[in-house]
Amino acid sequence: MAHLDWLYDIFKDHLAAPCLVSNDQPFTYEWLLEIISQWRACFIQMGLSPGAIVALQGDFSPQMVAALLALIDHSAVIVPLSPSVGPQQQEFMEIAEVQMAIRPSLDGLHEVQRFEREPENDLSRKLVARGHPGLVLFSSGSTGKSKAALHDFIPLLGKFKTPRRTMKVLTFLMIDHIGGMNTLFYVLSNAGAAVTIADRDPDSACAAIEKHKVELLPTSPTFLNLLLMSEAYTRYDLSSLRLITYGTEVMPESTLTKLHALFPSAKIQQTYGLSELGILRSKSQDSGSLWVKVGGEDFDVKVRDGTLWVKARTAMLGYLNAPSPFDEEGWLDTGDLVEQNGDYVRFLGRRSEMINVGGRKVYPAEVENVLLQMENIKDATVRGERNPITGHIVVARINVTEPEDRTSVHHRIREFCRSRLEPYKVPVKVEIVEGNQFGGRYKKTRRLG
Amino acid sequence: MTQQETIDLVCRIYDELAPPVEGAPPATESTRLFGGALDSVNVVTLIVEVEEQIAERCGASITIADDHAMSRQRSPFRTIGSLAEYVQDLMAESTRA
Repeated sequence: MAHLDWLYDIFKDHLAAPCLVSNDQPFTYEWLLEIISQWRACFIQMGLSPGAIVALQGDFSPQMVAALLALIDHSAVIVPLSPSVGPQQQEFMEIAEVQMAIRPSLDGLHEVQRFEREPENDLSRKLVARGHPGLVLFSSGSTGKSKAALHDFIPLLGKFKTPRRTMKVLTFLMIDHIGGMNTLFYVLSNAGAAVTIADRDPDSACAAIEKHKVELLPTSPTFLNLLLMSEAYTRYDLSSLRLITYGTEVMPESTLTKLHALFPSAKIQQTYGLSELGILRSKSQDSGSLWVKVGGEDFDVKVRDGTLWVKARTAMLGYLNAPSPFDEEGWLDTGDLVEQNGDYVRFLGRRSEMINVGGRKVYPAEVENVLLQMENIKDATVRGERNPITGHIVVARINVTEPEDRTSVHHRIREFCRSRLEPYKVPVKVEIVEGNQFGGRYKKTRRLG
Repeated sequence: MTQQETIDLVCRIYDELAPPVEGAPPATESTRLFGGALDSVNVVTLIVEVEEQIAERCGASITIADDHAMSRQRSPFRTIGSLAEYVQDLMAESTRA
């Protein structure tokens, strides 16, 4: 029996339905089943042994999805690597001890690279001995070195056996991100359709939503900010959207308020997940609220010293390149700072990004939220810079819409923030920057200077 | 930049940062940085702003607040005048370097 028989049974009930829409072309579940079996035959022909560690390189595409499912059935340990990994591809493949790298192309032809190595990592070997497929996800590593989380794929898929609403979904999050994986299996296990896009800029995403009547947009606050800044929503009909989800970073309250006003009929929902644990079930208090309940039947959560701790029934097996982050009872310190109100929490930011000004805490998101309400400020990223007097100072990097000199922007920022923030939170240094302040994953890049 | 120009620059930034108080005299060379109209966060802001404006005007990249400044026998952060003097020293050093 193959690992994914339960999923194929769902596919078989929806053979004519589209599972993916790529380059505006639909691909049916019947097509997907056929291509999966072609990939499986191909693996046997290549002599790929079960338990092999295989990198899957590329963005969401029909062939990519088929190859992924076939690799799961082949009990491979899969290391998805999207283009946003960039120059770290080689490093990641070494950490994961990849034995074969496959790059599926659109027409089903593919590039294969083989590496002569035997996996030495105990965790990988233990998983392979179990006969289960694996998944390696790299933490985005905005600070420090990327960590490789190894999952047993079987328990990770368990929750998708519960039927949920069938939806047409935009695959905005990357395939090598826990959110992207979650999107994909949500779609497939409910016989929905995934609409892939080559570019993740606001206009391309909105064009795809309009054209294919996308219902669910899982994305990041950064993208939603860009959507508002670009006013792309005025150029396309986005009325098909029923649900917008955001995760991966703190949502500025101003963005949420604007978004909620623009899409009154769409539900706006915060999600929460970690490469180490998977995606928790979450429920925002309402569409305009940053208060959210996280947990669900597979997770226990608690707040300790203002930080969220999570214990999962199906956590990763461990990091391939770092010590286990779990305590003896299996709790993980997420490093996410939260405020608590009954069952609800509000995310304040990453502990590693918190700025300490003379012993007082400043959360970048809070300051960014104020800056984003100002005239002629298109984007703002706040970070700490070391300072011998106060430990850290608050530094704001600003993108302006119309040209304006730094002194004038700084002057306006001081005036504006004075009545809205405590003095120590007001940016001491203001830099005007030209380029985008986010990476390929549409997530803000902050570094403590 | 002359010493007087540096003093004027620091005074201007000081007045900008000080909360507006009716009838408060404008800052001068002898105005104390700490314990006056500015709270400590604003003093830090003033120092960073002086660095930025010096860089913009003279192209000289100077760091006012570092271990060197903190470990001097007399703090350069006593008054606007002492700060301006310290800034002049740093600018002279940076052109020599």
